[in-house]
Amino acid sequence: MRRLILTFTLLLFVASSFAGSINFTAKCSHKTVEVGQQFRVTYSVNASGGNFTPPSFEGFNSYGSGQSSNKQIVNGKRTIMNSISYILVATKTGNLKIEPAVFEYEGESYKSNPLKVEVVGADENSANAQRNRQNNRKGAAKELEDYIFIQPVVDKRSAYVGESITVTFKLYYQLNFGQLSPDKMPDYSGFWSKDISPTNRQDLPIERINGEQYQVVIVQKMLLTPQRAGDLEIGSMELNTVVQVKTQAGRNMFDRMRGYGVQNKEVRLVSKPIKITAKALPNKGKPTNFSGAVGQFNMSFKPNKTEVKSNEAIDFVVKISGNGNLPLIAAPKLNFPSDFEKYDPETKNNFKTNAGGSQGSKSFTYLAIPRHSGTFEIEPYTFNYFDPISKSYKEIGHEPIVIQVEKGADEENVVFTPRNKEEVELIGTDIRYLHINGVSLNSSKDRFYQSTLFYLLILLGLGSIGILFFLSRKLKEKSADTVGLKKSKANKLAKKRMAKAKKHLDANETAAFYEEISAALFGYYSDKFNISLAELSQEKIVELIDNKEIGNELKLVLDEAEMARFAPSAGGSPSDLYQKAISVISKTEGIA
Amino acid sequence: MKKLAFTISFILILGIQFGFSNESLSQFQKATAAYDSSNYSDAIWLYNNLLQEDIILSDLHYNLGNAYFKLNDVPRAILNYEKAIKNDPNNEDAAYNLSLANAKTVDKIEGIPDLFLYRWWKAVFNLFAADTWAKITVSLLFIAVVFFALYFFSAMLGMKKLGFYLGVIFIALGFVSWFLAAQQNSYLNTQQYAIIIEPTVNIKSSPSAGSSKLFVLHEGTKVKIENQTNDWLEVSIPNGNKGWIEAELLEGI
Repeated sequence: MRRLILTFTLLLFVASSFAGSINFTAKCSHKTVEVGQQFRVTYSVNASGGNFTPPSFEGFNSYGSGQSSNKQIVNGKRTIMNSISYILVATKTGNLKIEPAVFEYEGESYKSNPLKVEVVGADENSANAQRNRQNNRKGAAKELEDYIFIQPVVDKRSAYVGESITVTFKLYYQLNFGQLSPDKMPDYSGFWSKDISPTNRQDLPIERINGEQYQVVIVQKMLLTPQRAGDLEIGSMELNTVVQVKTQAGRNMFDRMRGYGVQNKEVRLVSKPIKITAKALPNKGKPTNFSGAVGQFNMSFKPNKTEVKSNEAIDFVVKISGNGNLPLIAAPKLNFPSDFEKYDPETKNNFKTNAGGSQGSKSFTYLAIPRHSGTFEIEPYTFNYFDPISKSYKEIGHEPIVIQVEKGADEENVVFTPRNKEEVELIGTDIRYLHINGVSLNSSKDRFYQSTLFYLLILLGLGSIGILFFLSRKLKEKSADTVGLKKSKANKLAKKRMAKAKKHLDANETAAFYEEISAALFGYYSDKFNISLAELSQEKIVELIDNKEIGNELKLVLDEAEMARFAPSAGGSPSDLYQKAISVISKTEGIA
Repeated sequence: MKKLAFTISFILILGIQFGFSNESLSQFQKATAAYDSSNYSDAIWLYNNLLQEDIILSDLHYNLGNAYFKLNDVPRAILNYEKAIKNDPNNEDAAYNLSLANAKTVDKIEGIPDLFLYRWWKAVFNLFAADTWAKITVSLLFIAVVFFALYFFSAMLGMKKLGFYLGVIFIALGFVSWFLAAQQNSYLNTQQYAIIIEPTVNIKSSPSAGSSKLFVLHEGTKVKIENQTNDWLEVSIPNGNKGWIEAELLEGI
């Protein structure tokens, strides 16, 4: 049996040229243990090779052992520390003694220090007791879990939505293990996750758990960002591996005869799920356009130029730098003036994601092309984020950006509103030439409408209608008067001519009256036509009058006067004849 | 016949304008020379000088519009063509050049045309400028005078009747023409439309700088003036959209 041990240790302890004193010590993880509680006894020696003989561990049950080797070069000196540890469980109470182990090296025999362990009765409520009971229930096959197990470690159990959490799956081991083959990776549903595991195997410092030393290696390290509020769970990780177990098989003679052996055992390592409380971001003070950024940030918004010509591109760069969930920050929506042709932003990441979250900057480059000249103001963009440290929302604004766009040479060619056919045809032509002839340069004071002249002419027109009306009236009146005058004159003349006849009529001298009527008429016409009485006859007068009506009347009057001269009783009354004679003369005067 | 000839010659006499000052003429000729030698800014300066002397003339606006057009100042070219057309609806060249200038503007707004009755009415009073309507008024009045003279002095009944009816008709036509002159005049003197001068302007929902943007218009677009406060105008575009704009960004036609 001892030979076997010797062989085993020789296999493990790499031979090396080593000079110096041998330091062989024994350590116990606990000074006081409960009955049934596991504890560890470790023997360390600063030498390779040699022959190690463990003590008998009376009063204890030994559950296998683990070995480790630690080489160091300090100040050019190479030191080596080999250790072997045993998991022991006390079976009875009292002050128990663990005998020294023996280490034989280069012919010399070294003894370790003895150990004393006080074993007390089990406390029913203690965690170890529970654990032991659990272990006991699980049976011997599960006991390996105490030598090698995965423990997920989170940096915080509760986080705001968007706040980063780091979870590290650590493998604690006291036994050598082979290839780790993942059977089931943890379920990160509800989280945005990023693997930030170290690329090389990273051994962490030895940790003590329940007084026992474990070597620790990182299996996986994840950066998790809760995506929704509520109780989230980091699922369990399941790994399969093979461990080397030194068996102290059995407690009977035959087993002892076989001694310690090394056995490969398959182990399934299952981590416990972890509950994470994802807190919703507070509603108080939450901006309506909250960006979703959680962390501590800075923001800058700059165009690469502020004075351009139309159709020249401008780059607007929004740079968000800081520490937080940078990968999750979406491109901000910028409101460019509608005359700017804008393109989707180009995103540049310049950050590192590690345990503390993402650090660095993320920049969004917006290409915009002003299509028209003018002065444009870019609406201020405000970046907001939630600061989980101060537990408040913060905003970063910037100065308004004024872009001066000069008219570019080709502005009119790039108007993108399609022109209709008629307009396209017109473009090839030129404007018509100036008006230079027949241009009258009158001051607007000389305008005709509403000018004095205009009103005067209107007045003149309307006035002349009035004047014409007045004139025509007058003229009519006047002409009417002349007729009357002529009539009265002719009447007067006739009466004068007939004055003698009237006298005879009044004296009732009928014969003389008739004679005088004829004489007066002949005398009148003689005067009228300047013809001597001798030449004048009744026919001649009628002919000269040249008026049938008057002529007939005259004839009647003369005939009646002739007839009455010779036959006074015949014919009408003398006064009628007198009136008729006067009428004839008047009428004659009237026409000539 | 003789009377008709008299009327026509009377209209012609009225049509002859009074002479204009030599200084204005020489400025006008200088402006033409500057335009011909592609010295458009000088031409603009001279034309504007003439316009400031209260010479408001379709042709002058037309020439000024041409100078602006050559300088590629489309909005001011449009403004002056519009003014030229407003002052003389029969200025065909201005209408033609305006269509060229309008082809260079950005905004294409499909408009609803005016009510056909208003269009016809506008076409009627825009047939002539106010001065021409005034001259027509006076001429019609004088023709009426002649017919009334016929009515008053003719001895023959037929001529009298003809003279009376024609006289009444012509005097009525004279008053219609006077009314049209007044319409044309008020049309000229009220700025119903405006042209956007600034390259890009925001039309706001209310007359204050902080109010929200409704839409964007560009230089050269013709808008209808609907309302006015101190420094703001309410304008509408042919498709019916309305909004407020700072008065300094546009110029009335």
